Amino acid sequence: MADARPAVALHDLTAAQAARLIRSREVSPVELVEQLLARAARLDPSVQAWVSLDAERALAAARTAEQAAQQGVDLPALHGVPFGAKDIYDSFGLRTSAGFRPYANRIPTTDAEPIARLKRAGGILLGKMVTTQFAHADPSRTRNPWADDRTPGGSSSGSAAGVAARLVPIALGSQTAGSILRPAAYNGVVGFKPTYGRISKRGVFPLAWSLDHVGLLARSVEDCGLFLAAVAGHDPADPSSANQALPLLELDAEPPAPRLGLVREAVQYASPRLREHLTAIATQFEAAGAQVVELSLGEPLDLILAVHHVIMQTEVAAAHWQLIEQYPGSHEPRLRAYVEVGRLLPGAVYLHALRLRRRIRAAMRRSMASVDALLLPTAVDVAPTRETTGDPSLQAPFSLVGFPSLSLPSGLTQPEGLPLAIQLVAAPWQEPRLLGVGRWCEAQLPPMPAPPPFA
Amino acid sequence: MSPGPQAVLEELRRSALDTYGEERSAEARLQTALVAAATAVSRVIQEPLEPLGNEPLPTHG
Repeated sequence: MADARPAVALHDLTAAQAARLIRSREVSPVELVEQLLARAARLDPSVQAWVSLDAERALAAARTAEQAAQQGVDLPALHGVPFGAKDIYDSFGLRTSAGFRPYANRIPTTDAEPIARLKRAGGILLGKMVTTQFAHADPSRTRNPWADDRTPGGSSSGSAAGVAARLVPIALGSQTAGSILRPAAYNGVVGFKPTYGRISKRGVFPLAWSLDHVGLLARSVEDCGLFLAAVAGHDPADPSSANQALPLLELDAEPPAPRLGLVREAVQYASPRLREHLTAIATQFEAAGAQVVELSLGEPLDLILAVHHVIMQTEVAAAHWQLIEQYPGSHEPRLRAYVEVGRLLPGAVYLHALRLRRRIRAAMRRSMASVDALLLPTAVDVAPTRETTGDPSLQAPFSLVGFPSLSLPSGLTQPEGLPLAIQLVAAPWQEPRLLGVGRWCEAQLPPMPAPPPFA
Repeated sequence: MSPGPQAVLEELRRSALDTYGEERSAEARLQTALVAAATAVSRVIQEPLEPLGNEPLPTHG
């Protein structure tokens, strides 16, 4: 390896930075993996982001990656870059339990498709990250690295807290209501949920089929683009995977100042603190050249959330009630009650909700036709205390309609020092536009530091 | 006219009692979930739709 050392500590590197430095042989993938493993041994007892580390295989993959880098052959985009995966993604030879005790020794024989694609792009699976049970709402053991008395959010709690604590640069998460973007907001990292159907979910435990999305926790928008380019694409073996080509992602081009639609209902729903924060951000963006207009989602927020609730609860019940009967006493209390009540909901109400979803989707598309992206708070407020994983009301609307959404850290409260975040949403299949807007906004916002104990 | 949240809740509570028995259906978590579901169901069924229009299959497409 070259003697030149990067100006940033290895654990602070984003995935894109690490990939560039590995390609230029300024960073050794072996050294990077070793550092992250050592950091996990030192810090994870206080964060509890990892379920398991795959040290041996990760180091073997890193050694192979290092040899390839030294040979100077064409290297894939994420060559030698470590990543984590929420423990609802099957991983070859590595325990995958979804937070469910009866699956404590379940060892898949194949990788979930997103993991397989990340590996093909050169990524190195470092290990599995804590999830709430089956990606539902019962809090996990993971701690928020910014404040021990606050929730890290859920369900992708380990993925978000681990990326924030610099235990790994990127991690796979999943979102059915708000399980990527809300933990991203509470932990001061970037969260990205592409359009429904953009990424295969084969090998990922379902929660609610028509709402489940695969996505990423990261520390830059550029990393979200690298991830998307690596994993997007039709998978005929996944019935929810769409046959939609991913347009070129111009991650190097300077994005133009965007046209943003400030979502009236979300601003009204947010806490006074978040409302004030978003207003200040919108003013700052306008001063930097963005056009900001106020708009409505086109349907009442309470209807959107009710439709999401009925669809999600019915599908969760259909997916999980047999497991409850098969393994009595093994489900967390919120999930068990949610499934039991979901089984009681009439089929006609579920179908009515599905029809309303189509109407809501059409209304939202019309509402955002004249802007590049919607702008709203990611979460109603900062991370609440640990009895809950937080309120999904401002993320769930876009899980319902399947539109791509992105959360960016946008500041810290004073004097508590808790992360604040904004959310951007684009029309379906418009991830290139969304990531362009995200990069422009990211450049206007103050850089988010590491949580003080993990700096 | 569609039933309001209270009527939906009463119907769901009866259904829970029949399905899970008195002890389980009285538990706090289940009662909380019943109230949340009743609010959502009531809001959904109050929203009118063209009753006999053609509909695509109920997928996400």
